[in-house]
Amino acid sequence: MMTKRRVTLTVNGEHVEPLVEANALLVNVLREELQLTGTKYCCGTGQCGGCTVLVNGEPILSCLTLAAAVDGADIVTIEGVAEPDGSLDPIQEAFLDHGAVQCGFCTPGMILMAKDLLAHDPSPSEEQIREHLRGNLCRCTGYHRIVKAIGSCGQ
Amino acid sequence: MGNTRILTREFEYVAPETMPELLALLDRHGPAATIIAGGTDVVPQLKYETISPDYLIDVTKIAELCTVRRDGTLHIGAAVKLRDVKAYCRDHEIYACLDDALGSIGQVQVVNMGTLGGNLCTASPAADAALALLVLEAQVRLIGSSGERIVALDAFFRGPKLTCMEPGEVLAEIQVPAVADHTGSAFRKIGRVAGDISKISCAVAVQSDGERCLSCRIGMGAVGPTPMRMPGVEQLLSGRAIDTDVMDEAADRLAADISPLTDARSTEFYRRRVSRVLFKDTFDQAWKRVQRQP
Amino acid sequence: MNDDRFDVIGRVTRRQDGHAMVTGRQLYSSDISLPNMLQARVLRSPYPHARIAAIDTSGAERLGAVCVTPEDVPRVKYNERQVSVPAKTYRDRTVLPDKIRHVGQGVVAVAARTEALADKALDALDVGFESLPAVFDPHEAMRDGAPQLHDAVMLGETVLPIERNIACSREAVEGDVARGLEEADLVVENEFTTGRAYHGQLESKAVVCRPEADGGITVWATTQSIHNTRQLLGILFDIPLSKINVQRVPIGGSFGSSIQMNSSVAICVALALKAQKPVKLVLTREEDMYDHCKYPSNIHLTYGVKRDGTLTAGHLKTVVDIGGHNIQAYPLLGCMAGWFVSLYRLPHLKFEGTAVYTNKAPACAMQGYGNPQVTFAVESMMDTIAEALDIDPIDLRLKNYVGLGETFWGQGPTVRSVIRSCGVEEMLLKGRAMVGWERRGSPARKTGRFRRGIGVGRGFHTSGTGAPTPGEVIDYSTAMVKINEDGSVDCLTALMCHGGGTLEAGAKMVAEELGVPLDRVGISPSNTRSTGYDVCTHATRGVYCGGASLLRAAQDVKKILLDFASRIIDVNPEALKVQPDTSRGQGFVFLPGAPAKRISVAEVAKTAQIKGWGSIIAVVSHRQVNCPPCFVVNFVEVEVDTATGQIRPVRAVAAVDAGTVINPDLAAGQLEGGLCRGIGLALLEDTTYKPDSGELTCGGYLTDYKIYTAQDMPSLEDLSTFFADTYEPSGPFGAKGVGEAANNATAGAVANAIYNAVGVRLTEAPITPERVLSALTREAEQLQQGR
Ligand SMILES: Cc1cc2nc3c(=O)[nH]c(=O)nc-3n(C[C@H](O)[C@H](O)[C@H](O)COP(=O)(O)OP(=O)(O)OC[C@H]3O[C@@H](n4cnc5c(N)ncnc54)[C@H](O)[C@@H]3O)c2cc1C
Ligand code: FES
Ligand code: FES
Repeated sequence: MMTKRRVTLTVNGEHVEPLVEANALLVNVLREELQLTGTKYCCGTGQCGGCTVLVNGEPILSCLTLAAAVDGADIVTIEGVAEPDGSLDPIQEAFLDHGAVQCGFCTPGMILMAKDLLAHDPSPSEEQIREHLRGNLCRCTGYHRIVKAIGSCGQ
Repeated sequence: MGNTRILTREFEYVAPETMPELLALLDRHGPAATIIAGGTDVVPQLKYETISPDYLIDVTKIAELCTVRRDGTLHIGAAVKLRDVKAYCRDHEIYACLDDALGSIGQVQVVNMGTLGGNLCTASPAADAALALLVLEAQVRLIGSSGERIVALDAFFRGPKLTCMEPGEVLAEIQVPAVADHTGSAFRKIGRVAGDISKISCAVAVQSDGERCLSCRIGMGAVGPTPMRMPGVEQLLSGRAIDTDVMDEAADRLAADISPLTDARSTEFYRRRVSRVLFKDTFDQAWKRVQRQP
Repeated sequence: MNDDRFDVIGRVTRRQDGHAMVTGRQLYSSDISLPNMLQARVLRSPYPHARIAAIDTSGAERLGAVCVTPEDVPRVKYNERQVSVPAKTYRDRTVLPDKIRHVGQGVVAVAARTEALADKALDALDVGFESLPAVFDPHEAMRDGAPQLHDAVMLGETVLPIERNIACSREAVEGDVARGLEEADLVVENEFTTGRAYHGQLESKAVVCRPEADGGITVWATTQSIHNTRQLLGILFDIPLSKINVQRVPIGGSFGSSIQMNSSVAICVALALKAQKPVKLVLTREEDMYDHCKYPSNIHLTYGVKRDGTLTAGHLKTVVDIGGHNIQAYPLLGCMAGWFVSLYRLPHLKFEGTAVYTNKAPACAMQGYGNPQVTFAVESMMDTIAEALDIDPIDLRLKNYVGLGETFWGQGPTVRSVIRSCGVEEMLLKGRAMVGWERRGSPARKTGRFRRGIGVGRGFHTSGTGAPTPGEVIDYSTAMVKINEDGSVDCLTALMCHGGGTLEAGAKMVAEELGVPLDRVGISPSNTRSTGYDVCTHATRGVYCGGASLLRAAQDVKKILLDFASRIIDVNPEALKVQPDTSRGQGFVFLPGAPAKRISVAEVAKTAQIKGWGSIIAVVSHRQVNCPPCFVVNFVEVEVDTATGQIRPVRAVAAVDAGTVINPDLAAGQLEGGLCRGIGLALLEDTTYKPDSGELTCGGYLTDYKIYTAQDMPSLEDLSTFFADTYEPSGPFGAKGVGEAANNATAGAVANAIYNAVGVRLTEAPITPERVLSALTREAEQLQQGR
């Protein structure tokens, strides 16, 4: 039996201290311990970006991250993107307005990548948007409307 | 079949904060320990069940492995994130091929997570940063409890997933020597989709007087057991004026010197054929970069 | 695009379920969690073909796991797909197998408190396999003495012996092909293959089953048909349907992979019944890839044609490698015949299809159901013919396509109807102008390393599988609509949304018909208890068939509404109209020209309640008696790097004739997504197997099964979509489908563009750089020898 350890995280602004095993992956801690199921498992091998979360402001793949290794981190998941009062982030609005959502399974990862991109560059070119999203697969949309939606958020 | 959703392997996770602690842990646990940095290779390996450590030792909390410093030679801590290396290269054009290589790596997320040391220590024939560092004639500093040594990157790779590191040793830093004047470099790769791992990759660093190639370093990836330097081609080109005939000759030599295989990503035929093209394209880009220099 | 005829139809609106998706609140099957729930894992065969010698579960049980083995499950032979009538349903599998027929097939399932514990239990199982010789090539499988996968299967209630691994075969003949070919001035012939692509829906298949106190079960599953899932579970586990409730849960993509009740659903139910606790089983990606794939194809195609371009005959022979189980090969072959004969007029035609078992993952429908495969071959041939006769490829298509007023049997020989709306010509001509067809040039004149080419592909899909007479395939939908006491509306249906906006379209139709603002029309969560039968949301039938059932229910409800209103405001119901007043969030019933005669829908409903007239509610089961073609046209421009064989799609125009377009942005999204997957089928995607072990070359991991990224697709400016301006008389508000049509013509268009760039006909999809380079090298060598 592996020993469990307590890790301290700030998840979407909230302080939490889940008890995790050494081999627990962040994606599963978020989904199961913290019941934040907006973060998705799709490939488990780093290929799809569905499990993307922001750790200390940077997007990473939670399916390849040990929960123990991010002890002390500040984490933002898709559930933390809208304002606490429920009003949507402009990126979320843009996804809705541009029909960028089909089955919605890739959407959390895409929105977090868009947040990251716009945080670094408020008016990215289409090329930059596509480059930034290259690790996030969408099987439904062909990306067109996702790229459009993100582009519309640029200043 | 493994399980890509959870890690079924049970291990202890340890994150030492100093080198002595790290070395002591490595000595204590021997082959039962595996080093983890960004984990972008270690975690998939755990899922594929190709490694089975009892201890995972995280090196990313050790401050001295996470710094970049330059004193003529560029010293990059092994645990420096690829993202930070990339940011550095972007500001220093002389490392253009490393910048190209980092820019070609799969996902933004992987660049945020992965480390330069990890990219070398995976010893994948397709490792992109490794190939760029090879033509920049980088060296690595290895530290073990019995001392440290410096090894040329060329000698570091021993085969697929195999390096010259001894048990108990750790890669501490990557040293990139100062780049000679009038040198241009470039890295290019061919993948199946954008940001894919390489089917074939090529890195070139060339010093030129505008007409002749004074000296050059050429590396090819995913066409042999390790990222490979191409000494035969380098010699062939050194001192020669560059024209299409010379390049054809060099490309022929290159195609003869590589030892590609057929695997899930491509075929031997394709790799051999296209290596010639990729080499010429990469050389051309590096060449143009020298010409642009003042 | 705003259509003046309608209030909400054809308008761009935000989808109702979008908010949950962008905030991470949408709950898919894999997100369901119940108190006391166990996690399941399945031990899968490492052998492609094997007998199961012995199973010892004691080690796993000592760890506290609940185990089910082939011994513990019902022995009923079933087919996970329940869309065909029973007499045409081939049944060749059991919940857990009697024999292993492909690597990755589940053998023993375990459930434990956590997934980690379940995985430990898997390790503690002791299963002995006796490996058998395996066969991976369909042609080899048909040889005498080849390893035999199945001795016999059930067809309906009869036992059907299987010989030479042939699962089924089908033939369709009209006229006399030999004569037709004799009458031709030119006969062209070629062989085409398409790969065994993987659906790659981002959510791996998931299921949760909760045993209920009354002996029944509640199931949350990835499925395109909750009712078929329920019925099949009823048969397998002998539980009355009244005690089985299958919930409709959002799916994270499907593309046909869950038309059938997935094999894991029955396994999960068996575990839950044994454990008497809720059990969750979510496939890992690698399990999912071993669970299903697209039907690959191998097509031999011959056409006869007159000098003026008139086709005289067509003959298509295909062998389909279906893998270890027969999910829907029989209707597939019927449809492949249908796609073939309904693309272009053929006075004489013959179709011969054979479906063959091999020791690979079972193939099933994936967007297009044989259609992209057939259309790839046919559209490639159209360009070959056009070049041979020196006719413009678009003109050749215009000359021969099956269009308005003609008989059409897209869904196979038994489903015939007459085409009543057709935008083919409009799309071909408009697309030609948009893509800059005149820039196309001839490959012979193109030089240099990077060469561009433009290609056209044309195709269609049927909107559903409806037919005037009941045929081999079941097709109807049931809907309930009710007006609530505040004037808002509830819609209940078993229809699924795969992401394309099917339910949104349904809500729009109901809003339009009832004259109620769209945001007051809700699509209720539903399950098999609360809804009537709906066959399945497949076959591009969502809007045309499912939407029509909602519209019919709305029409019935409207009658009641107007009747009640007429009692209150004392006007003949026939004279009344309803219109939304969005500012007041209400629909209003009114007599045109008489301002006093006006009452809100809410007031009518509330009055009806108070006075005890009853609820304003209607339930309708509706079958469409047509399955009109939604035509599609793709123009694709590619750039071929002749030195590396790499192909980049640089521009595309995609158009669909969907009749009235209900959700323009979502319909365009279907075209864009279909195009991307179509390009993937053309250039990239295939699952190959290691010949020694029968394992997937990629191991089931997405690491080596590539899907295109945003960076690989044409830019926003270079990708355009448009809709034909048509109206389908048999469709709800004139609508047809889009769904599958979107990718049917793409692979053909891509192959034609490549030809236009480099003058080499590539017939083997995916057309990888390796294949391109080999073909270019061969071509160059031949040229040299010729000289
Ligand atoms: C989706 C995806 C895409 C990728 N794409 C690319 C790509 O395009 N190009 C490319 O080159 N690579 C790619 N990789 C491979 C890999 O992630 C990178 O090479 C990365 O740099 C590895 O770094 P890491 O820190 O994550 O390594 P880790 O996984 O932490 O470690 C890798 C190996 O190095 C050892 N190790 C790490 N640090 C040390 C040290 N200091 N001393 C001794 N041993 C050490 C570990 O024990 C392990 O064996 C990709 C990976 C993923 C998951
Ligand atoms: S699930 Fe993490 S990248 Fe796919
Ligand atoms: S919307 Fe379905 S995967 Fe992107």
